[in-house]
Amino acid sequence: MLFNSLDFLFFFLIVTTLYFTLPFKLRWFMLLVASCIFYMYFIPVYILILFVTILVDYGMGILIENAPLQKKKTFLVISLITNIGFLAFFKYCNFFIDNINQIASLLHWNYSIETLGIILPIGLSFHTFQAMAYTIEVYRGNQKAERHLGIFALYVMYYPQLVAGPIERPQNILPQLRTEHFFDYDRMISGVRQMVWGFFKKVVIADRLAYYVNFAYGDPEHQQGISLFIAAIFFSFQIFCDFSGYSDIALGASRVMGIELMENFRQPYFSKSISEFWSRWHISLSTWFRDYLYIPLGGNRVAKWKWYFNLFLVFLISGFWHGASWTFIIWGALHGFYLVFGMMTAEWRNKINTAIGITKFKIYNVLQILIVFILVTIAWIFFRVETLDKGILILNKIVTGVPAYVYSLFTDKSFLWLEPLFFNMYFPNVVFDVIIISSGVLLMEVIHLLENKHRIHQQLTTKKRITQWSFYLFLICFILIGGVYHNSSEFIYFQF
Amino acid sequence: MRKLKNKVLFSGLFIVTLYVILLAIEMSYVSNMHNLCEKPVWAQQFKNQEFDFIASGSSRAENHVDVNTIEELTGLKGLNIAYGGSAFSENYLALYTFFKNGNKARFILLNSDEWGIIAQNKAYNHPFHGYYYFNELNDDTVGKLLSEHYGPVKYFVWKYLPFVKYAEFNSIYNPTRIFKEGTCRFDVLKGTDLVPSSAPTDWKLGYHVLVPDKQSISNLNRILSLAKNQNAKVILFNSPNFVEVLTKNRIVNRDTCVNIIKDIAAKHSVQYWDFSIVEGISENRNFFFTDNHLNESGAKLFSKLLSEKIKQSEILVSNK
Repeated sequence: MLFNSLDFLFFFLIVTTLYFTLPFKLRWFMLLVASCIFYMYFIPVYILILFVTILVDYGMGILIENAPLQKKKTFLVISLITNIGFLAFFKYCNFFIDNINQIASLLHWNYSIETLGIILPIGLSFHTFQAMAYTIEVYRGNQKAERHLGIFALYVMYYPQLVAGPIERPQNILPQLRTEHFFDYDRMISGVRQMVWGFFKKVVIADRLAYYVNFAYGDPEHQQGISLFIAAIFFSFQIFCDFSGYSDIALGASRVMGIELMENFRQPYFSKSISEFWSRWHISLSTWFRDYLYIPLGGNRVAKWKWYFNLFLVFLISGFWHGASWTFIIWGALHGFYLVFGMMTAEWRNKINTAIGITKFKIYNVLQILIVFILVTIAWIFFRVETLDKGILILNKIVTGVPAYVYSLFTDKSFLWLEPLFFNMYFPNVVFDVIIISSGVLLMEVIHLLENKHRIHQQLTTKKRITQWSFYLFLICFILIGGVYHNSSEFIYFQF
Repeated sequence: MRKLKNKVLFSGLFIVTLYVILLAIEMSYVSNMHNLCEKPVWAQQFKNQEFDFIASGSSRAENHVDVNTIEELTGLKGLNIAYGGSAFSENYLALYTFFKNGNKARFILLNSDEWGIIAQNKAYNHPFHGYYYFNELNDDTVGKLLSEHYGPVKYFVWKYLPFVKYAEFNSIYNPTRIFKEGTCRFDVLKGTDLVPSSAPTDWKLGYHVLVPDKQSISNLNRILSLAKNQNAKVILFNSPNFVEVLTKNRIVNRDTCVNIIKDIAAKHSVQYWDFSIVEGISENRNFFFTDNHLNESGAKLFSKLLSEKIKQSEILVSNK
């Protein structure tokens, strides 16, 4: 079920009402059934994968806890193999088959395997990682094995974060699922406000930007460099609004019921370095990789070259987690490279900057933010394209096309130079779209600047009621007038 | 407890304020709807008028029936309320609202070709423009049709929550279009949309397999019953296609579909005029802008033929 659908609105109202009217001992069951319904809106039969994962991890959790030290690892490995096995089969099988076929063709071997006709179960990477976090934490002794199968199933399947995170840790969620939450008006209002903010980001900004991004990325051969450059920037905002919008709706819907999910985004585009970016973007995933991959690899307590290697490897795997394609691997590799290169050069970059005295000026911060944004945007190009060739073509067209375009501004006296900025006026509602996108992004960024210390809905609670009301009335009207509802799209991160 | 009561009260007040604001926005949209210059909305502005004939149907009626030519040659007064992408279900809505607004027509020229008989989502890319009839949501007949198409939940939400319906279709209903006078593609006096362009040199002829659809057939029957109730005669007509489209088996099952239309015509005792291949038009690609759409010169020529047929027909005599 899509958060940005009428069905979800009714679903949310019914589930929340039932949650507070049912006796506490029945709530877990109701939430579990609701979560199953939510998931089965996509491809119903795939819920069986979840059931198998749940049963295996539930059983392994108890076995790990009860087993002697030397056997604990065996049960952990069984759990990890099951989880990764599903992921490997559904997500990566065809990728490997494709690559084997291509290698065979390059070597002129008469060898080819048919790709499997399977569709990736929605949110598979998310709930697999959440399930793996549980068994690892039980193995490490940080979490007691959950004895209640229903509660454990709910931990894996809890509907607000089932298909696109945040990827939760058992220590945060399991105790909350076992606690009785009473209706709290202020908490409900706070949750609904965060949901409204999430809807704003998704339906007003992300989905409207999607028109232009899809158009440009769908046929880059026939686009001018400047249009592709704009599309690349649009995609940076689209993916942020899409994914953080989803997280806001998930966090808000869960908070209404009294269950707090972990924060997933903290204004990532205001980061001054790539490492800061990753502490602000998809926090639940980056901390997952930090806790369960980077630290076990030795973290930073190893030789310098090993440390850099570990960092690069983690980003490479993170790229592969996002999708079974070379484009995602390149995306991960680019981020790994940015990070390692940044660390290797940090010392002398600081020396140069101090020597020329730029660090004293505020513009230095702005420059840092801008550079990080450009680097991230370049990497997003590979995240968005279907093939590497397209990514290289787009990058090439931007690099050659944008300077040529800027030069033409000084020579072209007509207003034809405006057209590529608006995708050659291909879209009938371009004026409306420009107004909505620019005012939407501006509003969002102003709010992000104000959100330095607290989230906007928390800040507003200290303001007069009329201020709060005016803001949310305005926001709701903005969502209704400027949102995209007809043929509304899925969330980008559902595919992972 | 008192604090909670106040909070709940304020929440209620917030919802009421929101409702009033949305209602105000909806009213401002409705009063400026004419700016959209969309054919179905334009057609709904006619009230209590009498016409000799109206043309209804899809783009093949909107682009092909030139009311000015017919008026000139027959002396009859007409209006073209047909529009692109509208199947019989929508033609019914257009005709229903036309008559509901107190308008009268002696006869209806209803474009009825093989495309109308198949499922509407197979015939058209954007098959149902029910959102042009939002101002008639409270009408039982219109409401029933919209509810059938969009589902009862959506219909319920649209009916009782102000503005939400316009928000959903804001690619059409958006402030930059609603509050600014639009340019109409069609003739704002008579409704005909004559397309001056010619067929591209590299046009590709389509290949289609048609499967008759029960719902579409039932919608045609519905139109004929409506016309009977309004005392308006109906002429079902099929307008010219580029000859190769029909002769080289590019439309499989066409005869079956046309025969269904003929049977329905016979059952309701209405005339069926088949212009699907017209000598002097169909073989000349200069009269087309797609393989089944006539351009301006083609449409004018076809309208002349239509006028002659109308003059020869008994329809004017028997209806007076």
